[in-house]
Amino acid sequence: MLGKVLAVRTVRLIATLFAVSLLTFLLVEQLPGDPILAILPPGGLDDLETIERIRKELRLDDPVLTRYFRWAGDALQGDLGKSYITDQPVSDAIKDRIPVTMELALLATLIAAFLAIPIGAISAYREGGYFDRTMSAFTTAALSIPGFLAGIFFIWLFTLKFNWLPSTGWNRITDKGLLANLQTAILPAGALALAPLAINARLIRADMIGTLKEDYILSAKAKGLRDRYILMRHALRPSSLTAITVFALQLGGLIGGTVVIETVFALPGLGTRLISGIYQRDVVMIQGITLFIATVYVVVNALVDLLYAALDPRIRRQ
Amino acid sequence: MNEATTTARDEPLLSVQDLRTHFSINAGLLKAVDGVTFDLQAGQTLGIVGESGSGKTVLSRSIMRLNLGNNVETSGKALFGGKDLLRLPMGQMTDIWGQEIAMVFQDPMTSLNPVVKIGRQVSEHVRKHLAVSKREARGLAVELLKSVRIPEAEVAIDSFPHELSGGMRQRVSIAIALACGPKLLFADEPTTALDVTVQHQILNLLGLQQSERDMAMVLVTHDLGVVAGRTDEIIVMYAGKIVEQSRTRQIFQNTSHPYTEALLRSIPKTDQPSHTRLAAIAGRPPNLITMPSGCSFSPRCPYAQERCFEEEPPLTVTKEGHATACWYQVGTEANRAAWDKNLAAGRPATLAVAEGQVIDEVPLDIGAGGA
Repeated sequence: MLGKVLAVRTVRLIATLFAVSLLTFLLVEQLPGDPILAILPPGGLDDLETIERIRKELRLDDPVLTRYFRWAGDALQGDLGKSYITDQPVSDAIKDRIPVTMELALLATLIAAFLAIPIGAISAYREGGYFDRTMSAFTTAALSIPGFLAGIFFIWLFTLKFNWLPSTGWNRITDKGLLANLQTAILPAGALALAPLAINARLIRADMIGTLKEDYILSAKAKGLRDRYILMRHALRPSSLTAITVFALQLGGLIGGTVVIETVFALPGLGTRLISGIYQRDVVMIQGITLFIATVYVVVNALVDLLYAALDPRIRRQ
Repeated sequence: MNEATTTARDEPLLSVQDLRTHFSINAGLLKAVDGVTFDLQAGQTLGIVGESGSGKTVLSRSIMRLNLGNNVETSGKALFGGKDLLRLPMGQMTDIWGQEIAMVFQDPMTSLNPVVKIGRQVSEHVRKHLAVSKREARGLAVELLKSVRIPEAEVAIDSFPHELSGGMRQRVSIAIALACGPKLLFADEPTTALDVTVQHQILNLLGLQQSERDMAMVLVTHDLGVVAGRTDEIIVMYAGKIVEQSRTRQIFQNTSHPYTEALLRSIPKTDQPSHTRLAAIAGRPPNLITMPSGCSFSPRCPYAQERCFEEEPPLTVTKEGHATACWYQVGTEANRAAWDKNLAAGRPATLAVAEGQVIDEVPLDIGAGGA
């Protein structure tokens, strides 16, 4: 039973990845401008012979689909090609940059989850109360402010005003230790966390208001259990399915979505590498990083399905 | 339950005095419970009977302080062991809930948490109230499930509610309610959501557990057949008020209120030929916001006279402990005169009873076979 479910989901995952990779390849292919022009030395634009030679060398004269399957085949073996411009293998660039992006995304998700659960739960428990109304105003504000503005605000507050934290740069854990690392990570992660925090606090609140009207909450109360225990042990899990879905989508989204924040805080992450690739018309780099981000997104989503089963035993049987 | 336990004790376990529960809703003030008084001795069983909307569930939830929402106003007294539950701080209520007073809810499909294992649901409040260890709690959960006759209790504690049948789930609910050895158990329509074949098992289980533990029980139901033979005393409620209250045998032998009589008439009997039309009570329960003046049952009553529409009959003790709120009690001369008068005048509610048929909603030509 479980095996069949897993098989179906794996097939679906592979199909999705195929579609994603094809779209990535074709879309980047459609970008205006010939990548070869970006590679040529200054003044080489008229040298048609050289252009043709490079095109042959890079086998760019093959039909699109041929090139796609060659690229996809290599990608399956972990080879995403080499940058035309820096000659750096794309997989090396990803390996080099991903820890920063991944840490930002995870830290942002953690902050969001850690705050959204109590905010949502207490708001639902005291629906319409002072806390609920304050948090409703806060979440509205957090949702309407773009992440980069929040980032700039954080820099103004924590760097310029209080001078507690550095505004830009990145300390690697391996070089400077966890504390120094967190000092550089906390502001961008906090800016990234705002929107997911607000969305999830609202989702948990809404779901929980519904859950708290369920009979089993009343029966838990009639057993003499304390409200806090009922909220955390009986109400939270049935109220978190929507939030978990969105959390996972956000985590996937964050890995691709740190681009702007990485730029604001000048962090050496995947996002800044993608941006520089776009500026340089580094087609191979763009394709590789985009495919990587998309794959992470799709895989995270597949994992969410499995997480459902862990949260709600009734799903395990279907 | 049985004669041995019916000896009256001095101090009642639960003494409810002039309990009123009113909900403020948009349409007005809804008087769900309106002046209910009764005593319950330790170890005894009280049946509360009435149609949907008669206030019986709200009554039991009011005593337990389980009416949630901020539009509820409860007044009166509910003395339990000398303490007025209605005035107790909520912090003290959590010590009474589960431990002193417990409740079995109507629908076992919704009253168990779908994502928490049975074992935990059966024992979590025991751990809180009686401070037992996790391992002891597990053993206790198994014991409890065995005591409510759940097969393979060791397996059942690790299952989830959806893996059990409705009857088994209600057994789990009973085990939960019994876990801390409460002195008083509210069973709110404990069998309504279950198959007929399972209903008897559950009721017998409740009765057995009750007499074994010498626990008092309030059995709330719409079905007089459920309380017959299982309760010491019965309260019949209509529109938030008690209309008849007596020892169980008295209710059945000397039925005094027309509403009780109508409820009894509506129980299908097995000796009737099949396809006999069910005797329903004509009309609907009154709107609790705009109550009729006089007796609230008067619009549906076959015996109603002018006085009934104008003056509300008080609950008066007519025989030894038998209280009825009616001007023309069943079995009296006045009642027979009222019947004849209404029949002659062609009062629809009277004719409906006389014909043994419902004129209100069902057309007469359907299902008239048999009798």
